[in-house]
Amino acid sequence: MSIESKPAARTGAPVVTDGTAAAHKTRVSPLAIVVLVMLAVFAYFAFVFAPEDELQGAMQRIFYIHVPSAWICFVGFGVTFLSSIAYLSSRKEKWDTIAASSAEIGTLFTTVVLATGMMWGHAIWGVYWTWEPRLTSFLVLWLMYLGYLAVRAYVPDPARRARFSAVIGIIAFIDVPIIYLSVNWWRTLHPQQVIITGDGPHMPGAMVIALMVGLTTFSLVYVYLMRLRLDVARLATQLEEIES
Amino acid sequence: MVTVPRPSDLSLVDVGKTFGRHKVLRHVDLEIPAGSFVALMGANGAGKTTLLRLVAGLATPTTGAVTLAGVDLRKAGPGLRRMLGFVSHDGLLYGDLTGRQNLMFHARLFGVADPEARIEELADVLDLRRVLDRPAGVLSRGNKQRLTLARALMHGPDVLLLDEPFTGLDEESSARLVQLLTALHAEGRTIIMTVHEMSRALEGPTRLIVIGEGGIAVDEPIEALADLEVDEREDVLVGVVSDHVSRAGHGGRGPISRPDLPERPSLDEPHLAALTARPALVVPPGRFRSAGMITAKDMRVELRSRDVLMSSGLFAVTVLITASFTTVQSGNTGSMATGILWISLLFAVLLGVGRSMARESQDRAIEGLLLSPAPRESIFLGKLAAGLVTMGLIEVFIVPMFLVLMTGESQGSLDVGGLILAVVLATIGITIVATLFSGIAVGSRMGESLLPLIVMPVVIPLMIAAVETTRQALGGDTAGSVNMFQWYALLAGFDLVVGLAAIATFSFVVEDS
Repeated sequence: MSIESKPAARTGAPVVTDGTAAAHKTRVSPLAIVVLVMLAVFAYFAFVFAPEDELQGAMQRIFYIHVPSAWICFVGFGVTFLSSIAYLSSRKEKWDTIAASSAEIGTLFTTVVLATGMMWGHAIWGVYWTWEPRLTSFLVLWLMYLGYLAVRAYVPDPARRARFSAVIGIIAFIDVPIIYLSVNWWRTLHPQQVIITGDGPHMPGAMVIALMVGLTTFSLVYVYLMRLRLDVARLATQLEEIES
Repeated sequence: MVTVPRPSDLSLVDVGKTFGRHKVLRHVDLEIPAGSFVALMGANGAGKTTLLRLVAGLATPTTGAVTLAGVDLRKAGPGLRRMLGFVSHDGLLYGDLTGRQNLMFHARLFGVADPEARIEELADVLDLRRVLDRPAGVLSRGNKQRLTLARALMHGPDVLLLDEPFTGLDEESSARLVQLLTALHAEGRTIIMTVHEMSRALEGPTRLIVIGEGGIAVDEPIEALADLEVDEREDVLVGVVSDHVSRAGHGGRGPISRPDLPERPSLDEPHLAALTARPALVVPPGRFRSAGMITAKDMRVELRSRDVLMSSGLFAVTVLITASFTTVQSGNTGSMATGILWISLLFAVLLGVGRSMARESQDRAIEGLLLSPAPRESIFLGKLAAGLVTMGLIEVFIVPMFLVLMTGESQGSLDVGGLILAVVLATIGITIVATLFSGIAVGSRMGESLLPLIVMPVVIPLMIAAVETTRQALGGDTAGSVNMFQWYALLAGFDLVVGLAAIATFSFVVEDS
């Protein structure tokens, strides 16, 4: 007897076979193909289509990774926040799984934001790190969600873990508006908002298009990673049920 | 025909409870009418205590619902919670408070009209007079058990839940307890108790429920056991699903023969009547009065133990003195000094609040609060206020010490009002987060040591604002275009937003604790 993993991931129920023809075919999902194509398109727009910045040169192109990554942080932690509320209201396990998966992806992209921000900062400001409020706030956000993941690691009972992490997911997200407002409250070295301003974007049209392609691509990457993560969570639950 | 549930009719419908992978209870359906006297038996780990905790409202069913008088216990208001009394295997008592202080605290939370008189009655009947003014933490197992009984009976509950109530009691006390429970049953109260020995199940209960394999293995009137041989009874005792009871239960061979009990001292009628009578109750205290009672209790505990004041206060003093050697020597008494002040205060809060919540988890004392009619948010507000009072006492010494040791010549331009406002607003913010998250830390595998990891990132923006406002209050320059008002607005905004979120979410942290 063996358990064929592929159908289990798709249908949510393990399929038991006689084990003689347990072929494990790896099928690439249509979403994965779309994501791959979009990544290639994004690379073209970010590195070829968009014009080079006169002052910052080629280094400015990191902007097309930095900003979409920041966008995914907000999406990821926003989904965690909403799913946390949904979990506490309904106590349905799926909301906890969605919250935790989104927090993991959000933390991953916060790491990308910090890394690309440091590289960009070194090229433009001459230092890898400056205690500029928005960078600092992203660092705080990163630390908070590491705390969220730590709580999940140190509370063994699933129901209690879900409640505790939902509370942290809600409180941590309250810091997100502070990050956004910090641009206006603490005007310092960091570039000010250039896309959403009262009198339209302060960027060449080609740069805006490249950024929009980046935002779309990274959003698709988020959706794809979420799907993968939720599949893994579902399989883990099935495995636990089989083992118990 | 619609059946209207009586005031203390209990009902469990398709109740399941899972801990991790372990399904303790599955699909449990039970009807326990008002006035029942139920003995709950089963092997160790069968789920007896879990079932009692579900009925007490201390645990939430994973599936199904527990209702009392037709109301789901998850939605139980103060009135419904006053109908329940719970004698836990843990005392649910504060070890640093005396027996009298513990009872007084619970009597007031439950709205007992004349707490002093009720405590005297209970002390007489339960033979507590000698130990009433000793700290609960130093009492013997038996005395603590009697004190726990007094706590549970304080408000005259309609439904009394007892988890192995005979543990630690001598023969005399056990006999008194049987007499008391029988009298309460005669008064129409519902009693559900877990017991390990069959002889205890035969001493008063009228119904036996045996839990086995996550469900109800046996549910029969006690009389049905009359026809069983001793070894057959033992089968039932260990939770083996057996059809002996159903085969023998209705054999018509007369009522159960109770075991021959030894002659035991009994309670006299006046005593018993006083105990079984329902004490006069007034409207239970509201949100803020309950919070005040919890704060007063925490301060009483702290005044007796002084461990938070000593550990947090001494920690802050030590940090300041040690840091002053470096800052004064290097001539840096600006932002660095204020940063050190706030680091010392942050850790003082973490130590103090973490310790305070750890006390609540000792003997599961917090469950005494959760059983009371006090609104859940009042527990948060009470703990928060206690933390703030404690920190206020520490800061009264620490902040002047900081000014003397670390600010040097800048004292002349000190903005006292600004400094006080900064200290108050930042302390409130830090204490809010620490109070909320201390419940999480205590409930984790890491315990209190998890607290800094989850609190510190959240309060970093607060710390930055606190350092800036403190520095400016000490006569420092205003940084960039940010004015004082913005920093204070950040502090106040943080307190307000996080405070409201904490009040809204605290009940999720302490439920099922």
